[in-house]
Amino acid sequence: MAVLRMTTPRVLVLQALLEDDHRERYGLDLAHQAGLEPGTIYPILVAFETAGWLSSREEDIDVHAEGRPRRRYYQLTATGVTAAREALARAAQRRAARPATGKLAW
Amino acid sequence: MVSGVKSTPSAVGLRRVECAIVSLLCLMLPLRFRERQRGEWTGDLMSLAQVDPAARWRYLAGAARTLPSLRSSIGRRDASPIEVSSGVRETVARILLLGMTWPILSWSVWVPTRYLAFDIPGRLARSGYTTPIDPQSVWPFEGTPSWLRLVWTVPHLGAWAVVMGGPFLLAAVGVIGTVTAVLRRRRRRVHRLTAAVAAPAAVLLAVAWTAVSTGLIIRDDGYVAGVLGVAAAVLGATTSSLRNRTRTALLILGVGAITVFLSFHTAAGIAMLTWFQD
Repeated sequence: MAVLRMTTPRVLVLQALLEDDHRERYGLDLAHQAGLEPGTIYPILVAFETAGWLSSREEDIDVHAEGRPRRRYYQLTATGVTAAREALARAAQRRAARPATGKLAW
Repeated sequence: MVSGVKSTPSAVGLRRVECAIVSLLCLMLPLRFRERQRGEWTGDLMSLAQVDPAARWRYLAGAARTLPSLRSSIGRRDASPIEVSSGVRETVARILLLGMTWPILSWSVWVPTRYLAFDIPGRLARSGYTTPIDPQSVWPFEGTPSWLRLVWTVPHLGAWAVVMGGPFLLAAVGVIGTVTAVLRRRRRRVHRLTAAVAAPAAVLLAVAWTAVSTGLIIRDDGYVAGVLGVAAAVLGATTSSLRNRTRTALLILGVGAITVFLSFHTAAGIAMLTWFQD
């Protein structure tokens, strides 16, 4: 299984995906759900897809009739579900292990 | 229309500047990934245009900021070591298409079509090869009336550019193809018309003048036509971003140009060319 470095945005996307791992979602929808800045989600989705955690497919529509391009829908693969849960668990452990200094970051 | 942004419904509702930025961002992605990502960004911007137009600039800024990361995520799997931009391929294909149409079509109609349609080999054989058949006398019917001479000159010079090949064919294809391709981007009709008349006229004059001044002795045995034909056929077969009819036309022109090369290297072809040149 591919190991990916977990950043906060990646964790947020995985959380959003795991909320309903059977549902297919498109990029903008996922970005809103994960609370990410719009336009910044695709590097994360492509990284997950390259790692085999996500599968994607193009929407089956007539682009001329709909007047918009096809959306690409993403869904966690079986491997991805397992990997995502493990990654979130590790991230939670790291957060828990971090000493609480009580000081602000700045 | 901004280069690279399709005028399909996929971009309807977006401002030109947004299309331009999306195109620019796509240019920085590996070739095979561009269309996919263009669809993602364009679709998202269209959705935002309906629900939150002000967010579009933020969206584009976010996309630009994370572009290096996107490139990195795409990884080497989707990046070929040498990438010829589809824009370059398309432009070269269009130059070949526009530049080769006149000479190759002229040659096809003027040399093999007339040679076969008017049964020149049979007529020569029946005459015992004693009576030359003037090419000028077999189109469009026996004896060309004077009022048709002007029309007749256009395919005649095109066919000569192919038969003489070398610099003549390259000049015709290069100059006509480039000028026409450039002018197709101009909006003002007067520019198109002026250059569309002036450029071919200049080439025709140059070809005619050079042909006369060199005594019609320059010939390359069809090698330039062959190379151009292979290039056109390969581009027609492999440039998937072109429209089907453009690709088909390129393939037809490519086959036509390769036929020119073959005609210089077969007995029947040499007989046909000899008839035309005599």
